[in-house]
Amino acid sequence: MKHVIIGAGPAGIIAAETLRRADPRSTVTVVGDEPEPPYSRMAIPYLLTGSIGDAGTHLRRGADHFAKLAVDIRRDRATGVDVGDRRVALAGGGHLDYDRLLIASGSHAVRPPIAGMDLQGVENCWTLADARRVAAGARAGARVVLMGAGFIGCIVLEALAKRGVELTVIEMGERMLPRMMDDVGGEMIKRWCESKGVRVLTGARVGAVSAADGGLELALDSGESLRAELVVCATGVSPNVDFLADTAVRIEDGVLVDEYLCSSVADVYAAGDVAQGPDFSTGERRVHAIQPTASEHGRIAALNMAGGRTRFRGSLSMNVLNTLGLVSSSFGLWMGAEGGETARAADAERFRYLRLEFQADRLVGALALGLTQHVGVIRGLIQTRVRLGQWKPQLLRDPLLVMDAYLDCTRRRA
Amino acid sequence: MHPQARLSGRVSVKIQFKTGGSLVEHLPPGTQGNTVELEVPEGATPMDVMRQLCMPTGENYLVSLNGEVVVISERGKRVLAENDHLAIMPPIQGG
Repeated sequence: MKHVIIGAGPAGIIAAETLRRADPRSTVTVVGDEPEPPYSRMAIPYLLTGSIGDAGTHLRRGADHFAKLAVDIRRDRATGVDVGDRRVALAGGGHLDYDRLLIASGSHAVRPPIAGMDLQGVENCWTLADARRVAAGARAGARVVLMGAGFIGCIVLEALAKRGVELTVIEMGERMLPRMMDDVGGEMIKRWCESKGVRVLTGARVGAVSAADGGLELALDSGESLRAELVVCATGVSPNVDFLADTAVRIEDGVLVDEYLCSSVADVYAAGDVAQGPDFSTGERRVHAIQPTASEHGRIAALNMAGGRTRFRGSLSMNVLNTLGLVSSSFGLWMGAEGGETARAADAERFRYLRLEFQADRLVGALALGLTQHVGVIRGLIQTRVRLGQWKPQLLRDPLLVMDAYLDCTRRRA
Repeated sequence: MHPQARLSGRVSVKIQFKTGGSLVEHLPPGTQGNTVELEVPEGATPMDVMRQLCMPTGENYLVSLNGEVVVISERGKRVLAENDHLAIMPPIQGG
């Protein structure tokens, strides 16, 4: 059996290792287009703060790790797939034949359609190569503008602030983290960042970027203009699917996959940022471009490629973020479920906030700010779909009792 | 309807249109959710739909038509037909 995996990120690497165990006599080839050993993008902030070196970002230690597993890692890029002949065309001119194919090609950073975004000094912060350029430009005292205060933006924000730059954050949305926090939480994070010396502009748009005095000038729609030596763009990512343009592999927000991570074409699977798979909360198919989903997708896709029949129960949309020491987290249907009920507790002075979302007597979503000890409990209650029974009215009155509710409900189930 | 289409007397076609994230605010007023039936002039391309909805016509979207990727160079060329499913998805948050 010949397994080919397109993509050497967490989804691809976990799939390769799982295949090696589940299908020992197969050949496993991984194609990745970056000039590094397989690495984790989640480690990039630690690289930027100097806590780790390049090697600290690598997914596996030891130069011979993959050779020992007989996993062939090739530096090349897939340019097309012929699902009839079961063949992947490569940018280097060669091709790979497969019996089973995994598309784990991930996503790429995209920049907004603004004049001047191609100028020198405007960088993404998505790949290791990006991170090295950002590190070179983000010297202590340098004026840096960060475009985008989403999840990635806020992670990069922390790393940039720690490098001692003069930092301004520009977010198009009306609040920070518009896709992971409500207005109460977003406002608290903004005030927190401002208290740490970061300038935060929300509901703000950059009209154009131009070169000025050896640096960059950003013209905002508000009329203000900002000078910067470095502009870091963290305005989102998009799945890498162009090489599938002439295939029967169905695409919507990403590669559509079923509960076995199989695409619309037999023997072609997808995993990670590129896959639009079952969502735990809604049962609909969604792209969750987060590392826990990538790992789980990779493992389950590989088990099924090896001939198994393992169902994926759906990924929980979940983010945990540390912004300059303030930990925020979002889970599942945090914006509320249809016909559901909401409980909120906020303490703006102490930067604490908890929002719980219920459907019938189950917890289906939550936001938490400044409450690290509740993260595991909330996730557990959502993922196990525990019936809260008499605890629900109590939680509606005081959501901070969630820990007691968890301990009581899980003890009863045990 | 596109003003030029009205002038030339062309007919329109109905398509199923899906988007997400911040682009949802460009859907016609009163739209529920992120999917809507749209009437577009005959001969319209995905790029024309973006203009019709006043979406920023950047290249950073994922565009698919009936489950097939429409690469950037094709977005102003592929002609939409009755009952086509067009999806234009903005960048997403990674993590």
